Amino acid sequence: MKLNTIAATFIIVIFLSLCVWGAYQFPHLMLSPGQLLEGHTKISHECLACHTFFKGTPLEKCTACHKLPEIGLLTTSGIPIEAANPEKVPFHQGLTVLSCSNCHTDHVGNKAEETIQKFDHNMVKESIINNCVSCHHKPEDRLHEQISESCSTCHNQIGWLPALFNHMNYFVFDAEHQTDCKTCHTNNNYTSYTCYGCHEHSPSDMAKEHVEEGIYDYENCSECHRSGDEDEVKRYWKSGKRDSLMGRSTLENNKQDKKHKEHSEKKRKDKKHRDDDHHEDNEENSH
Amino acid sequence: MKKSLFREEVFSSILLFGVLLVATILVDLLLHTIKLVWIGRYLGYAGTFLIIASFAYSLRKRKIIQWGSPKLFLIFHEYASWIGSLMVMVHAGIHFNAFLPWFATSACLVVVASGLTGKFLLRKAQAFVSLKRAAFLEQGTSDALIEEKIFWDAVALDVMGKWRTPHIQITLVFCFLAALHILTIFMLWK
Repeated sequence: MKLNTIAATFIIVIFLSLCVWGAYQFPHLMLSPGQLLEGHTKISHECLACHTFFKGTPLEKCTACHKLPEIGLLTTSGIPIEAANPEKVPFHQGLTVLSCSNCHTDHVGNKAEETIQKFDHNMVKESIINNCVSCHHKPEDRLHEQISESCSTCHNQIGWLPALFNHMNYFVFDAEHQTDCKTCHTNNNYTSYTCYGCHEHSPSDMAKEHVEEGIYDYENCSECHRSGDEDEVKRYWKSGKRDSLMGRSTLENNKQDKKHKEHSEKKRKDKKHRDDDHHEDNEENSH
Repeated sequence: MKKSLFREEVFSSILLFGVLLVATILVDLLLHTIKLVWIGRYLGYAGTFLIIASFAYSLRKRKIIQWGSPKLFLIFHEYASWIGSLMVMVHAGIHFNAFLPWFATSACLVVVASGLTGKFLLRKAQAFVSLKRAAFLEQGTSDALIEEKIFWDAVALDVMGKWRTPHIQITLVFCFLAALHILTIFMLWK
C-alpha cells in the first residue's frame, strides 16, 4: 500500500510539473483565456509582447506598435486608414486619459466589436465630446435626419438608449398621424408643436369644435388628444387627468364639468326651441 | 438491503453530484440571461474562499484547531466545499479556452465526487459494521467470535478508510492547479 501511495504521489508530482512546464512553454494553450484579435494572431504565443508580469498591459507595450499620433490614421504597417476604412474617425489623439485597456481588451475571439468595453466619454477632450458626429454616425431615420440640435438633448453619453425622449408619452403615431416631424414641429424646433400643419385642422375649426363643447382652453391639443382616437380623448376628459396635469383641484374639475354640462343642456334646449319655432312657422305657413 | 443501500446512499451520492452539475448549468444560464456574466468571475474568488474555509475540518480533525464540535466542522466542510465547488464551476462556465483552468476544474469535480463517496459510502459501511457488532453482542456472542465473524467486514471498512489518502491527494492536486491558475491570472492580469 505504501508503495502505491509513493507511486501515486510520483505520478501526481510528474503531472503537476508538466502543468507548470506547459504553462511556461505553451502559454497560449495552457493559459490563454481566448483567441486574440485577428491583427494580433501573429503574437498569440508571445504573452509578454503585451503583458508584463503582475503589471497587466502597460501603455508602452501597446504604443510600441500602435503609435498614438498614427492611431486612426495609419495601420501598424503604415497604410493610411482612410483608404482602408474611410468611416473610421481618428480621435485617439484627443484622449485626455491614456489607457488602452480602459476600452480595449483581447482574448475574446475574432470579433473586434466584442473587445470594445464601455467607452467613457470623459476620456476625450470636451471639443470632441460635444461633437458627437465626429465619431458616431447620425441615424439615417426620418426622425434624426431632420434634427440639427445637439444629440444630448435626448441622449446621454452612457448609452444611446434609453433616450430621454419617448414620443408615445406625448402623442401616439397612429395610422392617421404617420407624417413628417416638421408637419407638427416647425422650424426644427422640437420643444413646441402645432396641429394646424394639417389641412384638416385650422384655428377657426378647432375653436368652433371646442367652444361648442364649453372648452375654452384648447391650445395645447396633445394634452387631451394623445392620439387620433376620439373615444380616447373622451375617456381622458372624463377621467380628470387633464385637470390633474394642469394642476386643477377636483373641486375645480367638478365645476368645469358642471359648466360643461350646463352649456350642453343650454345648447340642447336652444336647439329644441329653434326646432319648435321652426315647426310652428311651418304649421302657420301651411294654414 | 442492497436495494436500500443503493437508494439511500449510492443514489444520494450520485444525486448530489448531479445536482451540482445541473445547478452549475442553471446558474450560468441565469447569469447569461440577465446579462450578469461578470458575476461569474467573482464567484471564482468566493468559491475559492469557501473551499479554503472548508479545510477547517481537516485542521480540527488533526487537532490544530482544538475548539468546536468535529461533527459541526464536518457538516461545514461538506456544505462549504459543495457550495464553493458550485461557485468555481459557474466561474469556469462552459467556455473552454485553455487547459490549465480546465485541469483545475476537473480536479475540483473529482474532489467533490471523492468527497461524496466518503460522505455516503464510508459512513454507511461504518454504520453497517457497528450494527452487525451490536447484533452479535445482543445474541451473547463472545468478543473473540464477533471479531472473527466481522473480520472481512472490518477489513473492507479498513480498506474504505484508506479512501482519505487519495481524497487528500486529489484535493492537493486541485489546490495546486487552482493556485497555479490564480497565480498566472495575476501574473498576466489584463
